[in-house]
Amino acid sequence: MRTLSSVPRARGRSRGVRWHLAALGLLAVLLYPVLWLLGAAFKPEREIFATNQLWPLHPIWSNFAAAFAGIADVSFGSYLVNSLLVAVGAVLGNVVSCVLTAYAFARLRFRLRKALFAFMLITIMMPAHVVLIPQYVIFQHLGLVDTFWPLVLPRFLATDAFFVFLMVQFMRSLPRELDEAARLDGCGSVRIFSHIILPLTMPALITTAIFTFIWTWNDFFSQLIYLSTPEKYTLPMALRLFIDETGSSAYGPMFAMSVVTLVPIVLFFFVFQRFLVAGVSTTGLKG
Amino acid sequence: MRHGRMSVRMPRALRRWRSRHVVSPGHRSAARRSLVVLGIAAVLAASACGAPGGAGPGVTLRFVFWGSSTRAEVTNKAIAQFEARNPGIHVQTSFAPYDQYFSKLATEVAGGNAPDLVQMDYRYLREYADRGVLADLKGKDLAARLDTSKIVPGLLASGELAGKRLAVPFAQNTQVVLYDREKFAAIGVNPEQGWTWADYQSAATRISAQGGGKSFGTGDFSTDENTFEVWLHQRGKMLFTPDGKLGYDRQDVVDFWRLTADFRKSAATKPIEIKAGAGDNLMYRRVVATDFTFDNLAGTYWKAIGAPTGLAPLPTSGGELGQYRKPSQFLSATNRSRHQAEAAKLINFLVNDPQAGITLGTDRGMPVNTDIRRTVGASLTGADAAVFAYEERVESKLDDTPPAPAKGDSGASRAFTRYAEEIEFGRLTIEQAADRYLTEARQAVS
Repeated sequence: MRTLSSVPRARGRSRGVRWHLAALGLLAVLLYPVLWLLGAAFKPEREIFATNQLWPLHPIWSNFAAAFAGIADVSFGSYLVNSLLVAVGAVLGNVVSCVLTAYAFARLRFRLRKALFAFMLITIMMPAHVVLIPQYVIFQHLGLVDTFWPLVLPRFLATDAFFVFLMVQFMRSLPRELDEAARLDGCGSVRIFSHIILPLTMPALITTAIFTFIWTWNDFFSQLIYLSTPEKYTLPMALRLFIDETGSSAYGPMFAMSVVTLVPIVLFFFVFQRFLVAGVSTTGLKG
Repeated sequence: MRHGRMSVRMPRALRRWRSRHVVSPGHRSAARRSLVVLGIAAVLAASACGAPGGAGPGVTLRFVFWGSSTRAEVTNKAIAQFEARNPGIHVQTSFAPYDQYFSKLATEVAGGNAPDLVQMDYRYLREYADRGVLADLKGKDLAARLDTSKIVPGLLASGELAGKRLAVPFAQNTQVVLYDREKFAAIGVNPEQGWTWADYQSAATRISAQGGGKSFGTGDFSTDENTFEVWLHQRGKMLFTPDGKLGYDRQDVVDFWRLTADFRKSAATKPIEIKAGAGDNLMYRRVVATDFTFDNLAGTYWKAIGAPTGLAPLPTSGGELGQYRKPSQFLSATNRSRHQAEAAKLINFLVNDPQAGITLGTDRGMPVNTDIRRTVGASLTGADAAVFAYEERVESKLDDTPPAPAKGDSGASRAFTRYAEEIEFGRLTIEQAADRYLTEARQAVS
């Protein structure tokens, strides 16, 4: 009896081991570029391309020293602060403006609501390049080119229609009974928003915050277009300054700076991802 | 490990938040909180937007260029020297890598915010000239502030279109074969003073034979339009005619690709399975012993390989060298700038001043002013000195700059690479590939 019952268990365990090995193998493949990046950050310049080895043969710190020393008289700290300002500003802008807009679309009744909603959806489908130059001209006339305004201001005007749409869908899934109960208790639209809808929309807000942060942190093109003085450059721009095909390049410091640049985004994701999981698991109607 | 401080604290904080706001409505703090958030946002946005960098009274000149951080450092140093000598002129510089630089410039020009002074590339010169973006530096009082008398004549003319001087060459480079000195020493060949295509092939074949399947004489240059161009010049043809047509015919294409096929057959070329990925370079990894490139890049190769490479002229068929003085970049003032006079002054400084010449060095290529070139040449070391010596060796054999590339040339260039690969992988015969390439290239540039 004992032998009989232990056979399937052993088989189950070996299947589990195999499954985990396969998963680990896949993970190694997926993480390979990141590991390579980590290794390259510690390699002397000529070792980076000379060998395919992950582990640096002669590990050095000077790449990091060079990266922290900055580029062309602008310190690394300045790029970091600029990137953080833009990213945090964008997160705040998106979270605040999109949730308000979404609440209006999801719960309030007003004239042209459907038409405006459709209009908002159309803006999602429009390629960014179509609005690039008109937008540039507007900011140019406002005298805001080469400031952080063009990167932050649109977020406070709920122009990221994707997130508005995400939140509208999320709010629509919340039971209307909650609103009605609050209304019976004497709440107006503003109170229903702040006491019922806003707390329950947390998971969508967190999702918005995470994606806005990651996208803004990695965004290169709009920052390139709007920022001109090197003192206002952000990290993604700084990273590209190390390399140029038509002149001399510095690969080691670039990889070192890439590693440092990954840190805030990973931290941000880990911290907020906890909220996200907690938010999803605690959402629902309980007594 | 998984239950670190973060993981415990965050959900609890959330639970507290929820219990306060969901379970007991009636609190005011949520509304207040969102007001606080808005307030913070406003403060942050306000602080994010500093005053644009100005320098009190005087003129602020905006100068943009493409390049790496190394180039930016020397350029900013030269700019500081200019500002010290010209009080009242403040220069605001900005730089980006090549591709991004031109995306940004296009947006700025379209948005009516063109910089005063731009670094221009030969490939884009015609386009920007046609759009009327660039100022004529021969005109008005600009010519008086900008001395071009010391610039090599054949080079200066490359910045002129329809009688207008729209760009002044900023630096000169030329084609080169970089070669691995150790491997060439091992076979006892020194190509520095010039060689023929047959010499090149035999040297490369011997290096491949000694490489034991790990290193080879040359990469496959059948895909390289720059090498094809020099080879065309050697036969008295050119890539583009002055009126923007293709300057060669089917026979030229077939002959060039036959030459490269011959290199493959004799195993002078690396096997096709060995390919360089994006950003990769086989010579950096010492898989191949030679590479066709431009001479101002020698320093990058030296650094990547960790040893000096040799600089040799391109192989010939015994006659003309076919290489030319290439303006690696230009300086142009923009038409709508209100500070063209100051821009002309800055161009003059960057091109003609000995101090600027020494500061700028050879990162962009050789100085275009012949006097400065001599001064700078004496001060160089390492790769820069080798590049200078190379340019001195070939200078007398160089042709003048050919006409600016026709519009759509990048489409033709991509097709050239693609069809060369079709031959490499045996999917098309040389004749088939040449026919299809020519059809496509003619369409692209018409």
